[in-house]
Amino acid sequence: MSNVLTIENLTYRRNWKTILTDVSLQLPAGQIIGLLGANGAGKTTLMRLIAGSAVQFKGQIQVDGQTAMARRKASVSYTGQLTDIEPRWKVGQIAELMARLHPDFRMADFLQLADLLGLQQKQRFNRLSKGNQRKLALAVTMARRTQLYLLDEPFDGIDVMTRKAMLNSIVRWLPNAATMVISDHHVTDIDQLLDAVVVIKDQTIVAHAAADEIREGGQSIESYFEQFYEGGENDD
Amino acid sequence: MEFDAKTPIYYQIEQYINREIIIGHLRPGAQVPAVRQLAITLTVNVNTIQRALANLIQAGILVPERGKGNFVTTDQKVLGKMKQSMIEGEFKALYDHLAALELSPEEMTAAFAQYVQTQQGGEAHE
Amino acid sequence: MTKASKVLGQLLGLRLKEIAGWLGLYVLLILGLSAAYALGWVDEGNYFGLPLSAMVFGLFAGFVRLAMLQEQLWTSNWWRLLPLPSWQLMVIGTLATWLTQLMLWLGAGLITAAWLTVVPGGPDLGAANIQGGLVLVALALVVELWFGAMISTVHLLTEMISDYLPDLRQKVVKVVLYAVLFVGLEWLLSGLFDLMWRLAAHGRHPEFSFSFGTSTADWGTSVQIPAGIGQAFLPIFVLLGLGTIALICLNAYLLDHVETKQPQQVG
Repeated sequence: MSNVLTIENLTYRRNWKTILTDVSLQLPAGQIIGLLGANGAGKTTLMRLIAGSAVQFKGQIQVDGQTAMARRKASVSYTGQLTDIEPRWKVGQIAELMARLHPDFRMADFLQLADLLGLQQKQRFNRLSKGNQRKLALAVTMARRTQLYLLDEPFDGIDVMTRKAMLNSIVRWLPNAATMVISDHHVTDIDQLLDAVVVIKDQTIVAHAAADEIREGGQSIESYFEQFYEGGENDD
Repeated sequence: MEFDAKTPIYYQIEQYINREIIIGHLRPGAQVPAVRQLAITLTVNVNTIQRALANLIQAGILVPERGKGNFVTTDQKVLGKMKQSMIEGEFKALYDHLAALELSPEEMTAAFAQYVQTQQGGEAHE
Repeated sequence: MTKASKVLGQLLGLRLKEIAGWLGLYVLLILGLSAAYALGWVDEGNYFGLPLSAMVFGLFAGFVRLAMLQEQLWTSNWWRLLPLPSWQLMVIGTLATWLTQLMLWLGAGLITAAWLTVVPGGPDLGAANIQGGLVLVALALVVELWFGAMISTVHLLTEMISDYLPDLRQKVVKVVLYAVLFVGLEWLLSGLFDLMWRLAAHGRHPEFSFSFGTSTADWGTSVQIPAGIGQAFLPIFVLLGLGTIALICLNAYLLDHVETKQPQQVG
């Protein structure tokens, strides 16, 4: 199967600061990948670049063989798509609009997911707790049927039971041939789902390894990740 | 199901299915749940389930049937070997741990026999 | 891929409530003034002049609100992540702003016409005045289309420049640029009207300024609007139209090469 994501020599600068430098990555179809890195390492930026909300980069980004931004956007579903929506929109309204604006949005799937996660159709977005907002972002993201899913810290601030429900939803709704990238700085939230991990440090990708291989070496994914950050938590 | 962080998940799933077979939740000849169903139940990646099942099929513990799914083998010899192997796995761990505590082989067997007896005795008093 | 027309439809649909709200306010203003007039608190000049001035003022001041709404299309992930080529998104945004204004003008115009027909007295609605009025409105609309495009050019250029400035300066640059734009608007319109009078009235040009008076006397509605005003305006319309298309092309290019959001600090 060909790669669903190919990044070649990606460099990204903002305000004289280099945020990502010489990033290259190939991700095959049908895998769940953990994107690991400390706060501020560039995980969100990388996702924004892949999804198409960050545009001023050097290098090449290809999703499903397409480099043109509009086509990339059609093949990517990113949890960040709910950032900056009209705060007064209701859950049901958001779903309606998604259905009308995105041809790959499955309303039936969304309704099931929303129900499973305990979201109410009539609630306004700005009245939802942060946790519920993340659940909504997940539901909206998974309800689109596409090739590449990007989940940016989906479990941030989520309690254990809800996280289990969300993990379950991911397994249930991820299409077979689709690839999902989940970023998290708490590895243990997601490590039983991962086929592979990608580690970001020092503005670039320092590791890309299969989860099974790490574990076969008798190492947990968490300690594998921690070995890149001997000094401490934050990447400055 | 809680997973150990340091062992491959596919291996832990194989162990899980073997245990289910040994204790009779999955009888010889019974159908194993579908890959997707197992993935949802155990909250793991579909690829991991597939790898585990592939390994079990290669070991002869599961038998695939075209278009129908995977079934537990009815071959008692294979199942017997599997049970044996599972038990030996437990013994290996125990042996390695006790050896690390510097027990001699005689001390080990004696201590273990004693331990089993006290467990039995405890149960008789309940 | 998403259809551009669908997005435009959705966008306008989302604004309908607000448009109705603003028009409702206008109706309330007229009703309130009518009551005040009937009670003798307001003289005839102000009674007929205030709503008209308020309408024009509101429609131009509302431009700030519309500019903010238009900017959202480039900064909000919701719109930015739609599977659309940037140039289509740019056209949709600029058109949406313009169509919103068109709806407001039409709504306000209908309300005003209904009001002036129902109420006795009022400014002379001779054929020439109506034609002149309509040409002025058409000019306003074309200028607004051009400014809708230009606002985004200013915004995107501001973002491009501010990427090289420390964070502190960014907001100042933005405010300064926008202030320059607003002053430029007034200058441009005065200049255009000036030009119009010169072309149509052969030198005889009364001063036209946008100092908003509240009375019909301030509007000079008793002045005869010269014939042939439409033809005089044609070259201006064409120039503005071409200018708008050029700006939209520039904007589409900028949208693909300029960041409109700071990357989030987390991750």
